[in-house]
Amino acid sequence: MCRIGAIKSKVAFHPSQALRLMLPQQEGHDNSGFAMVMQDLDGVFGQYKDKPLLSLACTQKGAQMVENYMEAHNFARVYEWVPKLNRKPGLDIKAMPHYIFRCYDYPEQVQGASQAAKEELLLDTRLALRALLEKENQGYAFSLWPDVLTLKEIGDPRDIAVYFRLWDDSGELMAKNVVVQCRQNTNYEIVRYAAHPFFIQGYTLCANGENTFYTKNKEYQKSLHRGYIGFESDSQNFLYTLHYVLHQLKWPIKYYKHVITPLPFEEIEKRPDKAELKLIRQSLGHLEINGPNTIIGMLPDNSLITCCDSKKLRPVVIGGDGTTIAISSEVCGLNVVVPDRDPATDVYPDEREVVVITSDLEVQRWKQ
Amino acid sequence: METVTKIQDVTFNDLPWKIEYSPERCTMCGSCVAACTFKAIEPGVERRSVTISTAHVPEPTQTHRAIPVIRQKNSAANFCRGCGMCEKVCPNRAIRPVRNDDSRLNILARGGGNPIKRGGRNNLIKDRTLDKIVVGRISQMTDPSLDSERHTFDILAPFGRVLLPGELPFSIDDGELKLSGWTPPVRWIYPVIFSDMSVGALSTRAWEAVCLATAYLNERYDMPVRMCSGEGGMPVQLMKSDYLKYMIIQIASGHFGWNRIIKAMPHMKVDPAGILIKIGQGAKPGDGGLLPAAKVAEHIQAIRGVPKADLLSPPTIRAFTPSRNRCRKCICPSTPPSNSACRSPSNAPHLPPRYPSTTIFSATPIRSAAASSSTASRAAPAQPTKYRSTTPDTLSSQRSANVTWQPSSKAVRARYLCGPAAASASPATPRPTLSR
Ligand code: SF4
Ligand code: SF4
Repeated sequence: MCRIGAIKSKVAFHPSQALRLMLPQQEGHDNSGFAMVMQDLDGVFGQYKDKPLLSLACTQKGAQMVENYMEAHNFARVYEWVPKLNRKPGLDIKAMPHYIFRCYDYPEQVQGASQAAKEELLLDTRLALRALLEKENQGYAFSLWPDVLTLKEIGDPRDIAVYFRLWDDSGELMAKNVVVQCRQNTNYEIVRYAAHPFFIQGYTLCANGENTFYTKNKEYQKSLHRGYIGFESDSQNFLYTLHYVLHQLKWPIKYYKHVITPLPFEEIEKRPDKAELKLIRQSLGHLEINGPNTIIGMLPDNSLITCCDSKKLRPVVIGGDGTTIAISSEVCGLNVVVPDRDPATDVYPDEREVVVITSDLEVQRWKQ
Repeated sequence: METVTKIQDVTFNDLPWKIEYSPERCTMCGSCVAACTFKAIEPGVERRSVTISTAHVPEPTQTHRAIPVIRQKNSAANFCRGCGMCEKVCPNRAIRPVRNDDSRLNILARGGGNPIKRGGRNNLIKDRTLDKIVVGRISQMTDPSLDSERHTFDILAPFGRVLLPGELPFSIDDGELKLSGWTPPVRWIYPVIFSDMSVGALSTRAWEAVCLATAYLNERYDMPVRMCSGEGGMPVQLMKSDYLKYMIIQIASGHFGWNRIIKAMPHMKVDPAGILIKIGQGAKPGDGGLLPAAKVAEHIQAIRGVPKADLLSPPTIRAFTPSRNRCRKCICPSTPPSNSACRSPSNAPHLPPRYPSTTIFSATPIRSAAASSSTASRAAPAQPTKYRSTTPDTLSSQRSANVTWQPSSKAVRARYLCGPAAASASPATPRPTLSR
């Protein structure tokens, strides 16, 4: 089982907050990994918000390969932030030789292109980098997107934080949104790509659970989009469905829940929109999920979404104090990062509920 | 005559292992033959084309010579087991067994050791259905799951033409998806059907029993199962029944009984669950089906609308089979004009000329096929009396309908669908007309 969480705030905060959210929950994870995606950045990246930011963990050779590729494809480097690593002996971390967080200018040929064309280019570039690195086993390209930074590593989250000096609160790395996960290695071989949160074209998602419709979801998703690859974890299915429903089909957000956990037929029959719901079930039946799950998603407009499986077998709790709102698998995490909130207003979404926290911290919730 | 006897033989290509042998390395020591406990190889003499040069300077000439060789026996009883003994004992690395991926041994075994004597089937499809089934894990963490309730789900599956998600006619209105167009009818059923056993080949009791079972499961237990008629037509009483809604009506390459189905349409009280157009003969790929005349009893003649005769279901529906190569396997009244380009199925000019049985909704497929094809003796006029006596109702309605066949006219097709009364108003261009 993993533990997941997200923090959204009106003021930019340090990644140490994410660690504070997760560490109290460590009975639910086994300290085998830490991963986070930060969005709406501040600190050193604050002034490069419109520049695609590449998050990379790689070898020396991998770094060279990426550099050659980006140069050959006319991506001009604008800014690079290299974490000052604390290579203190005895840390439980399987570190890669290099971590690269680098902003690029769009290639000249797409400077004037539409937003959609740029999005496609960024996706293709990330996929190409991933393929390049994967072929020679030289590293991992996690995300390439403006204003989005991904850090994933295998090891004890506390030691990972020491290694990257995340406790220092130096003001370099800050954001207004973070989605975070501490993982428990179950019966998988540990692969960095298998660590949530996953990212595609501005959509970030992490999940806690086990999707027993993994194979059915995967086989179908592979046919839907070139970016739906990897499938190192069964939770990638949730991300790809989120991306497919919102980005590809351009459906309103409420239909995501109808796709992953459709209502039973008896309930559909009682509803005024039964024709639409039945069609969705027909056409997207292969994207239905099963088993105990909760998901937290972050959308391109910085809003957060959370919902769970149709039996509420994995819960989350949402709480905030007006400036900061957090979502957490366990309430002990909330108590640390938003201690001054009124716990009576905490939201425990039920199995048919969807909660969205908009970019101005408004909490919307509705029944599917 | 030699060819005739040879095609009755087993060939070593039928066997699971083949001997790879290099005569130029072999010194005919005989060790391999002695070592093979299965008597799979033997010494022999073969006349071979060889290039030799015997002069002081190279003067290669080609000649034929009888040379001694080691060869594999063409015998199912002595098939090579691939044990590799011959390879081990050979001092010259001249011989070894290699696996024959395209072995036909199982077909031989099925035929009691008889070799295949006719074409049409192959054994080259290496990935079988069972190899393609993906078994997902039920649960990664709790395998088996701690409690079954965690993993319950609906097993209903949509039956009908399901649109791709991007094709759904949705418009977005105030954050809601609104259906703003037509979608094909789809029913949610158990993903289990009584599969296509031809109603038009079973005894009345047999098909009635399965139909009753289908209706009973639906009506009494609310279990949405369906049943497919198979390709032999539908009994008229079933077409008129309330329970037609549980039936999937099939049309296949033989088009059996479809004139009766069309004529029963005005009397239908409910729609069938579906229409299945079977493009190929699933159970007999490449060969088609044959219902021998001996089995075409009176009730079957009535359902299919045929006389007592051998009933052939071609391996494919010809309308869907543009390639001449494939077409030749079925009974084909005419062949395309040119030989050259017909290997390309997409090459429209080489389609076989259209003939009547290619029109799916043709009202008289059987009759018109008979009129144009010398091989199809279904409507053989030699037995009109018997034919008439078995199905008086249908026959008289056919007569009055005077249905004509006109393949390319959508209007006429539409009229057929509207039933006999409308069809009788069809244009008076009687290309094969009913002859009775
Ligand atoms: S592999 Fe074995 S069975 Fe086959 S020919 Fe050689 S010795 Fe005989
Ligand atoms: S053992 Fe080798 S060399 Fe001897 S007869 Fe057999 S193939 Fe020829």
